[in-house]
Amino acid sequence: METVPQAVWRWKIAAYLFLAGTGAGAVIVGVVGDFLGYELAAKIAMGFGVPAVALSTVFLIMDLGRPAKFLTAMRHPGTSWISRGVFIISALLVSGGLMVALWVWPFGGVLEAHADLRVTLEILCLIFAVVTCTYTGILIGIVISRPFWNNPLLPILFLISAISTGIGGVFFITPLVFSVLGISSPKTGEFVTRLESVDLVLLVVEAMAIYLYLAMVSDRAPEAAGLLLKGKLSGLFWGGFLGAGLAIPVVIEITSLVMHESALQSSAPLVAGVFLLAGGFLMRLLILAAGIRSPLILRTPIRVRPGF
Amino acid sequence: MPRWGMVIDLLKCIGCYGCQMSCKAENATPPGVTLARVEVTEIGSYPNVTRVNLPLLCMQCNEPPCERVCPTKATQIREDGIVFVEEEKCIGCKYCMIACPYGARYFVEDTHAYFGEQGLTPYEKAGYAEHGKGVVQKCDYCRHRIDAGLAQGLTPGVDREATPACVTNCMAKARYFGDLEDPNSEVSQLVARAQAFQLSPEFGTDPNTHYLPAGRLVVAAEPANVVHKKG
Repeated sequence: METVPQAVWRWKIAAYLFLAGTGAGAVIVGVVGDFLGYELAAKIAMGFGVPAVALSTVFLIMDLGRPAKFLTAMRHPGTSWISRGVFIISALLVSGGLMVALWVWPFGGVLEAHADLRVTLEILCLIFAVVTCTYTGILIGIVISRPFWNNPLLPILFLISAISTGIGGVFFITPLVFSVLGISSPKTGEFVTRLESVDLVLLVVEAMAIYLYLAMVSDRAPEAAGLLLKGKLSGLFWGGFLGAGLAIPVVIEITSLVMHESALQSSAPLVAGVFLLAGGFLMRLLILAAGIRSPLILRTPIRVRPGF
Repeated sequence: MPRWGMVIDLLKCIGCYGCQMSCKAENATPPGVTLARVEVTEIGSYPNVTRVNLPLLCMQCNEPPCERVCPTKATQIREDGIVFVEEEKCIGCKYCMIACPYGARYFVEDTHAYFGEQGLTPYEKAGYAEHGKGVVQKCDYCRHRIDAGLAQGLTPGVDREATPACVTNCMAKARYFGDLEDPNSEVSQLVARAQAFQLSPEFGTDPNTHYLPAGRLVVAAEPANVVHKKG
């Protein structure tokens, strides 16, 4: 019988996981960027990341059967990771929202004047962003009857991918901001160049993590692994995620690093960003779809004809 | 306080789908929702293969993963062990469907008519009105029958009116229902047998629904896989 992909949580949840991860990843990039002194780049990353996280919740709410009641999802934080997630994302949206409002736009001056408050907020943003990227791996990872997800590497994989897609978002948005505002900044170009080398490392680590992950789960979840490697989802997995989402950005980033002193001299980051974002979405979609239920074990003694 | 439980004898089940149909009739579930269902499967490997009719419903777990993950506390456990959804509280996040190892939960986005263009039949209109839309439904051992029966002084598992519809309508009498806290009840006696087993207990769910095996000549016991049709 052909294995049927998981069909309870579909593209809307994948879009949520992707946007929340990408947004939180961009927030991480922004905070680290500001700590390293790349102020403009950090503002762009924050200005992109926080709205992306906000948008992600729209997909989450859209997936509900009764969207109007979404706030009641906070009722069971004792055991439900959805309830905990509501608190985690709210915390990121509040701290990130304050960063955007008081530093990026529109009251930019407030945090320029209060450096200590800015650092405090940034540390909070960093913590909540990391938790936002990782808790979703726990959310589905605790489901023991779906062995493809039931793996401690999943939150780490989500974190790596979130930072990489966050970098992808910064790659994509920075040239657009510059062309719309008609500005240029060599310092930001330097930051994007550094991000290219960081992302190159991340992508290699991600590829190794995916390999390790599949090796770890293929024993307990052979149907799910088969679904990705040679079943219904294999085209999207090999061509879409590994090819377009991992290999192409690697090639573009290497080329850009070799050819140009500053990444923003070419459109390489913009193109790499598109592929990184597409790959990040595909990864969430594929991991969700591969989360099929474990077969039920029927401890039934079977008839054996003696002497047969 | 009783703890309701069910025993399904796989050797007696003839795969007539009577439980599935009587459940639909009793609970007026819309198309696509089969709170009680039968899956036909093969177990064992050549040459020792057996076809098994596997009736499934909510296992009414003592440790239900669905209840733990529910973010709104819509899924609750009654004192008598029945796991149910308080539809008013359900927001339709479907996390319980992700968590349930038995595929016993169904998301009802909208209630479609069984007979297409003719619209809802009077029976569908009356039945669907009792359930909300955009919520998750599950088997609750026909708790409305149990509660009504107890109020009349009847005994669930003994008196037909107080027993889940799938049990009363099983023509092979493959289903038993009763109080697992009472050591003298029929279900307790059956569960005490060595062959009785719970479905996939390794998920830590400790179901109140038990099974008796499909074979009796026990020479070799071999765990076998049941592949689900649903994703």
